[in-house]
Amino acid sequence: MKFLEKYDFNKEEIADFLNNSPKKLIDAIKDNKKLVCENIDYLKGLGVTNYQQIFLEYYDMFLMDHSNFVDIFSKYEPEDLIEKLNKNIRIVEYL
Amino acid sequence: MALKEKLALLNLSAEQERIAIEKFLVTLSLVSDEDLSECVSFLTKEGVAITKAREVKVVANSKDEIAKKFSILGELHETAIYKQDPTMLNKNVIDLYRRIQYCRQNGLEYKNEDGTYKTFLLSEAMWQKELSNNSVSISTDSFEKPAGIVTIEPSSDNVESQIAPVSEDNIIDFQEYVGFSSEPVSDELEKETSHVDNMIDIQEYIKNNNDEAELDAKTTDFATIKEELKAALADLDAVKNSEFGELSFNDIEPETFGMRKAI
Repeated sequence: MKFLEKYDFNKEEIADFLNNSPKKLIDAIKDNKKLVCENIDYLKGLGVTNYQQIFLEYYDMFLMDHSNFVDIFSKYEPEDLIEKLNKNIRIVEYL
Repeated sequence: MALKEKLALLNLSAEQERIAIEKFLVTLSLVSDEDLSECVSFLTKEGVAITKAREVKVVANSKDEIAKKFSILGELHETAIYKQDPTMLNKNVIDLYRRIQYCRQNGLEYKNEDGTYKTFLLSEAMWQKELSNNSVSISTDSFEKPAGIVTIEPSSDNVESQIAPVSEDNIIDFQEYVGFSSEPVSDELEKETSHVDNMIDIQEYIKNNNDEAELDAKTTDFATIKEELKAALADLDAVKNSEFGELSFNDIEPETFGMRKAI
């Protein structure tokens, strides 16, 4: 999971994530590193500042096909979306 | 099993959750039909319902893994945490066990008045923060090991290896780990233990003698001490009035005050 370090996840966060996630999903993330990076990059590029928090909570979502992932977030005004996500990441579930 | 059938196995509570599930379907695609059915029926038997879309990732754990977690927290009668939030089944059960055990041993409240678990149990970061707020330090020595758990060198890549299934075999392993065995006492062992009796006698003797010496010291007549002090002061006066005239404190022998000389 070293690739997460380039997205400013610290070592403790990565260790905690590995320690508290189902092995099947960890393996899927490792096997689909490129897709996961693409999805993280999209959120980062959108200006979502708490993308690490979103990933650590909803890591399974980052295994979605990239175009479907983009569709979820692109329906909203970026500024409004960023503000709402900063207030409460739980809204991710209902976008 | 078609995705629709897989979804029907879950108990997603509201229409809202059925829409949200679209984002979390990957987990269902990673799990075989058989594993999913086994997992869901075990959870149902234990009274855990997956009602929210974000909880679906729990089924990425096998039935055996989930059963192990129930068995470990069951020792503390704290499996309600999984009913309260099924995603807790994704968390490392040993960490949870240790945190709860630590709270119990140190009188820290880990449940709210309504019986819900406090959030600091959920992650290492929150746990550390709570400990620093309460000014208590973590000492892993104070944690009791759950039965059937044999701790080996921790490795973030191999967290599961820290958990051994709780079975009779493992309990025997654990007994060996802590140094006792159910094997019959051999002759050799008997020979060895005979020395222990002698050792106990010697220790008892030393203890009794120390007690006597302590008692002697405590019962020394106070008047004797007073006399010794008087004599020491008289010595001091004698030195002061001697032909050597005024002496500094450094010139006086420390023994005068019953002190030992520094070597």
